[in-house]
Order: sequence, then C-alpha cells, then structure tokens
Amino acid sequence: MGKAKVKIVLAEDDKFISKAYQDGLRRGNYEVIPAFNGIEAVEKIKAEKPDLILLDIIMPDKNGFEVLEEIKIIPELKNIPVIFLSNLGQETDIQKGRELGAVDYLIKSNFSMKEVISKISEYLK
Amino acid sequence: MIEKDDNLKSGIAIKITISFFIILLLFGIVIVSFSKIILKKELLAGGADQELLAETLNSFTLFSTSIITFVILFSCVAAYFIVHIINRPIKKLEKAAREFSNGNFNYRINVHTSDEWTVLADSFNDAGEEVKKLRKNEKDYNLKLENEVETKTSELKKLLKGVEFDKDEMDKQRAAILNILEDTYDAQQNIKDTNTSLQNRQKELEAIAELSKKLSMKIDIDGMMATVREFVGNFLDFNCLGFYIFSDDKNVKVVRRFLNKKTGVNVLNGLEEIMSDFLSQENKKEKKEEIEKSFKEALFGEQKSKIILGGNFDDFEVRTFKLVSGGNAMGAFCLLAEKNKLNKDIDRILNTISSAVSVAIAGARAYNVSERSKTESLIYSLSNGIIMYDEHQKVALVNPAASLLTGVKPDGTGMDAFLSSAKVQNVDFSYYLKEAIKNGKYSHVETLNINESYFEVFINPVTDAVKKRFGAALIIHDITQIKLIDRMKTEFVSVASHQLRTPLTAIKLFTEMLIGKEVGELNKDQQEYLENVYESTERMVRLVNDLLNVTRIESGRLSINPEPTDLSKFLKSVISEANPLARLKKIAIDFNSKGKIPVINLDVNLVRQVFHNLITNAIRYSGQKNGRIKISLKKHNAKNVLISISDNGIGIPENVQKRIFEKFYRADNAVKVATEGTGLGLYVSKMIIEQSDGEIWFESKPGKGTTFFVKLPTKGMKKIEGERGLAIS
Repeated sequence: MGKAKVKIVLAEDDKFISKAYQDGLRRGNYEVIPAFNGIEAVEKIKAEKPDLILLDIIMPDKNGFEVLEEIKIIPELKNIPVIFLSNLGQETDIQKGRELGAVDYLIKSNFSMKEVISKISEYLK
Repeated sequence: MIEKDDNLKSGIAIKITISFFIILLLFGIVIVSFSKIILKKELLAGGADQELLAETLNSFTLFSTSIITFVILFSCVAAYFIVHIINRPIKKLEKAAREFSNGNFNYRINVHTSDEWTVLADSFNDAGEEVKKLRKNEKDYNLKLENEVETKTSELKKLLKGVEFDKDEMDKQRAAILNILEDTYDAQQNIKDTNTSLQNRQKELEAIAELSKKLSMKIDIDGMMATVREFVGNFLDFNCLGFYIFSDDKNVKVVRRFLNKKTGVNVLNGLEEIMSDFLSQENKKEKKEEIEKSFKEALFGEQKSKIILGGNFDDFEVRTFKLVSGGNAMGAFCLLAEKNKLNKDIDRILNTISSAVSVAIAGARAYNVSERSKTESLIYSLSNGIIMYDEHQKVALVNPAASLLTGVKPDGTGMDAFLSSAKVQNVDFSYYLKEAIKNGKYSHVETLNINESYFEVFINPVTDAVKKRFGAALIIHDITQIKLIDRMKTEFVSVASHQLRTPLTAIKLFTEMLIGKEVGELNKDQQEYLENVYESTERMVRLVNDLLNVTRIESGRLSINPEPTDLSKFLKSVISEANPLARLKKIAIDFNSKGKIPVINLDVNLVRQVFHNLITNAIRYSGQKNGRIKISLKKHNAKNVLISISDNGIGIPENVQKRIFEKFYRADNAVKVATEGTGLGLYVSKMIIEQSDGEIWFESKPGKGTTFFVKLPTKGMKKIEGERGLAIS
C-alpha cells in the first residue's frame, strides 16, 4: 500500500468550479471530497477529518465563515489548515477570514490551478 | 494906454535915430581908418618923410573926422524928422484904434495923402463902419429877442394860470395812491407769509414723509424710536423724550427714554407707571392739558426741576401723544421741553409724528405677523426636521417633520430621549447646541442611526435680522433612503463580483487544464485557440476587478489600512511579481534605490495596485523587444519620497496626454500594442495616490519612452475606516 493520499475537503457550491478543482487536485494526487453547501461541508469535515480544507464563502444553507466557526470549536478539527477560496475580495472579508483562523484567503478568479496547488502544498508542509 | 502909445511912438523914432547914428559912426571910423592907411601907404610910396607924414595924417584925420561928424549929425537929424513924419499917419491910426477899443466906432480917420496910408485908413474906417453896423444889428436883435421872450413869457403865464394845480386835490390823490400802495404792500406781505408758511408746511410734510419712509423701513421698535428721536431732535431742543409701547402680545412693554440735554438724573424714571396711567386715563376722556399737567407734576415736581433741569417748574412743559392704530392703543410717547421752545407749529408736527409712528408700528406689526406666518408655514411644510432652541437652550420650535423623524413633540417632550440615543452613538447635541448659541459655531453630524433610521444633522446658530443670535437649530435630514440605496449598491457590487467571477473562474480553470494538456494532447491550432480563450478570460477577470475598484473608490468609502512599509523591499516584491510578464516580453527591469529611504505607513494593497499597474503598463507598452525599464526610488525632499518608472517604449502622444488618467481612456497607440487594457488602471492609481496625499504624473516622448513619477508623503497614509478594500487583481 502506498502512502495515504492527502485528503482535501472542497466546499464549493458552483458545480463547474467544483469539478475543475476536483480534477485538478486529483491530478495533483490529492483525494478530494466535495461538499456543495455549508451543512454538507460541516458533515463531510466531521466525517472525513481532512488534511486541508478549501472553503468557499458564499454557499447555500451556511456560508464559509459559519462553517469555519463551527469546526473551530471542535478540538479534533480546529487545527486543520483552512484556505478560503472565494470571489469576494473585500478587505473586510479577508480580515474576517483571518480572524476566524484561516491560513489563507485566495480570490479564485485571480489564481490559476497551479498556483492554488502550490499554495496547498505550502500549507501542508 | 495913450501914454504908452506916445512912448512907443517916440520910442520908435529915437530907436531908429540912435541905431542910425551908431551904424554911421562905425562906418565913419572904418572909412577914416581905412583912408588913413591908404594915405599913409601912398605917402610912403611917394617918399614923404615922417614929419610930413604925421602932419598930413593929422590934418587928414581932423578933416575927415569933422566931415564924418557933420555927416552923421546931419543924417541923424534928418532921420529923426523923417521918422516923425512917417509916424503921423501911424498916430492917427493909433488914435482910431484906441477909439475902437473904447467902444467908439464912430471915429473916422482923416487922411489927406493918397498913398498906402489911404488904403489902410480906409480899411480901418470901413472896419469901424462895419462894427458900428454889427453892433447896431446886435442891439436890434437883442431887442427883438427880448420882445419875443416877453411875449412868450406872458403867453406861458397865461397858460400856467389856466392849468393851475389844485394843490389840495393833488395831495388827496397822492394820499389815496399811497394807501393803495400800502394795502398792496400788506397784501404782498401776507402772501409772502402765507407762502413762507406754506413752504414750511411743505417742508414739514416732506420731513414727515421722510420720517414715515424711514420708519417704514424699520421693523423693530428700537429702530423706530431711535429714528423718531433723531427727527424730533432736528427741530426741537427737547430735554427728554420717552416712549412706552406694548409688545405684540401685550405682555411686555417696551420703554425707551432719550435725553437730549444733560440732566443729573433721568427725570423719566417711573415712566412706565405714569405712561400706563396716562393711557388708562385717556380712556376716561379727561382733557389732554390736565393730563399733561399732572404728568409734569408726577414727573418731577417743583423742586426737582430746579435741581435737575436748572430752571423753574413753569419754564417747562410736557406734551403727550397717544399711539393708536385701528382703535387700539399701542402705546404713547411724551416729551419734556422748555416752554419757550414750544409753539403751535411744533405741536402740530409732533401730532403728525405720533400718527406716523402709529402707522409705522402697526405696519411693522402686520409685516412681522405676515412674515412670521410665511416663515412658520414654510418651516411647517419642510420635509427636513427642524428643532429650534432659544438662547436659554429651551426647545422653541419643533416642526412636524422633526416630530416624525425623532419622536420629539412640538412642546419639546421626547427631546431628552432623542439626545440620549444620540449620545450613545457619541453624538453630543447638547455640546453642539451650546457652541452654536454661544459662539455661533456650525456643526455637522454625517450619520446618526436611531431605530433603524439614518439621519444627517446640521447644527446651526440662528440669528435675527439685526444679527443678534437668539438660538440654534437642529436641521435633521433623513438619509435612510440614501443609506439604503448605498447599501444596495454595495450589495450589488458584492453580488456582481461574486456572480461574474464564478463563471469566469470555471472558464479559467478548465481552459488552463486543457492548455496544460492534462486531459489530452492538443494540436497546434487547438492550443492556440485555447490560449486565446484563456487570455480573453484573464482580461475579463481584470475588468471585473477594475470595475469593482472604481466603484469602491468613487463611493468614497475606501478603507485605508496603513502599515509601516519598507518601500525598497516592497517595490522589489512588486517587480518580482511582474517578472514573468517582463520575461515573456523580453523586457529587463532595473531597480535602483538611492540613499536612506524612511519607513512610511502605507496601505500595501492599495500601493501595490498602483505600482503593479505602472510596471505592467511599462512592460506592455515597451513596443520593441529587448526594452528596458528603469525603476528608481529616492528621497525627494524632507517631506516626500519619489518613485519613478521609466520605459523606452511607445510613449504617449502629446495630444492625448491630458486624458491619460481618465476613466476608461486608452490612447490609440496603446490599444494597437496591447488590446487587453481596460483603461482603468491609471484612473484607479491616480485616485489611490491622491487619496494618500501624494502626486502622480508623467513625462513622455512618443517613440522614445515614458516616465511615470509617484510622490508619496513621508508622513504616510492616514487610516480610514472605510467599508471596502480594493478588489485585488
């Protein structure tokens, strides 16, 4: 058996973007568990206990901030590095993200797949 | 006269004789001497000797002298007689002349000879005759004249007798004429007097008209009273003048005293009481004079006048005038003056004045009421809330709009609640109001949130027409709608950014993976097409970012979060970000930092945006390959640092240079070279730099290159708690 693949939970409600990241990350040899809304995201994170979380902010049912708040309370989950992947670029949002404990905040449209993957590997070290 | 003539006559004869004698004598002497000389010569020539000579000479001398003497004597006598004879007719002429001169023109000269004397004598006689004739004529004429005169005189006397003056009659007539003249003169004087008094009246009326005009221009009682005082002072040397006027609501009385002459004490003390008595007394229809008398006594009594006014009680008089309009008493004024200064005319004028003042006061009141009602209507109909405070910080007015907005009732209840809910938001209206009332300070509260409503509030001092501050006003402007719209706009921007970016992200990601051949090989064309798709997508992403930035900047709510920045390090990092693009275009970037650059507080995100834009532009518009970009950083002066970015690219044509910083503007030569620019980069950069109190400008030569300069103040950027940061691209 090979080394266990790195598990990433991808919380993203847009199906195209989700597919793109899933494919891209899988090709990068990551295991990707998608979630399409906030509630599903929390469930999946609790269930899978991933090595990294890519978290969109605008999602139905629960937004990314709320998801993060929730998991940060759970001791076994709170140390998982969380990268916000969003198209909201407000200073206030970024600020909020950092305050809640995310390790980074990337604006999706500004980053290519390669750049995202390189960021991920940075935070997984 | 006769004797004179004789002498004259004799005189001539003798004179001539003597002259004759002398001439001849001289002549004789000359001849003798001459002869002697000649004889001597002859003798000597004949050879005569001395003795003979002397003898001869002597006898000659004797001889000749005797002869000469004889001749002379004879000649003289003859001469005398000749003259005498000649003189005879002259004597006769002389006598005739004498007679003529004595007035006797009857004398005639008798001449017997018939020579020139005859002619002369005849002429003389003729002259005498003529004169005689003339004299006779004259006498006759004179006589005739005398007769004429006498005749005429007697005629005149007769005439005069006829036209004999009846002296008495004439005197009577004279007297009558004089009387008429006198009467005419009197009448003339009367007319003059009437004329004068008419003129005076006219002047009075003009003056009063002028006074009325002046009064009508005043809408305050004080001003009116001062005007009247001035007017009265112009024609009457009064001692004191006092006004007593009810205010609009009859609750307050306005009392003014004016003193003209120096008095030790204000004699119109207690004026108010006296005046109100006076006004009430008049209602009982007592006689005016009696009132005035009692007034005078009340005012200063007998002793006071001596001490205070320096005169006797009876030397002064009081005049009182009621001010009435439309049957309503508005007040009164009274006047104290010396008796001898008052007269009928002045009384008349004062009466007229009191009417004028009454009219003016009534007019002013009516005007104030109408103005006030106009103003009140206005205030009550405003959609802005107005709460007015008086100078004692008591609520004076609350218009309906204010009540609606703030819940404060017209009587002022609820004001405290309002003030405290404002205080909670750190807005201290009490302080602002105090400042407005005391110091005339204007204050402004941009946003106040009370019960989900948003207000903008202005605190203004309030002054009246004569620039007296009498309170302050809160002007409350409901901006809830505006806030809502603003919030909607913000949300729209948020939504738009999210909604636009989402599909763009998907496109980018998939295209990227296709180009990366992660899902299969591509032929050359497929590769190229996909690359084009990718580039276009990138453009759209940039456009969305720029649009978002513009919206945020323009809304003025850009947040600025400065942190201490090492500019050198910072610029290097921006350059390294741009390096991939530079390498692609084969452009080299040189960075040079001169001297010690102070650490400056900068919002890194914003400033990064600016320099990223400038460097990218420099790369993009470096037309030729192997271009070079020079970036330098140095201290400009004590207050600023200067960054310059120089390229050797296509430059900016002169005719478009002034438009370069315009929103969406792209010069033609730039579009040709790099189609993907949005035209927003420099606009956003300029806004960011200027909001940081910096400067951005450029120098360019088409075909040679462009240099952009950015000046940043060393004091750094100020933190602004805005709502938005920039969209990072």
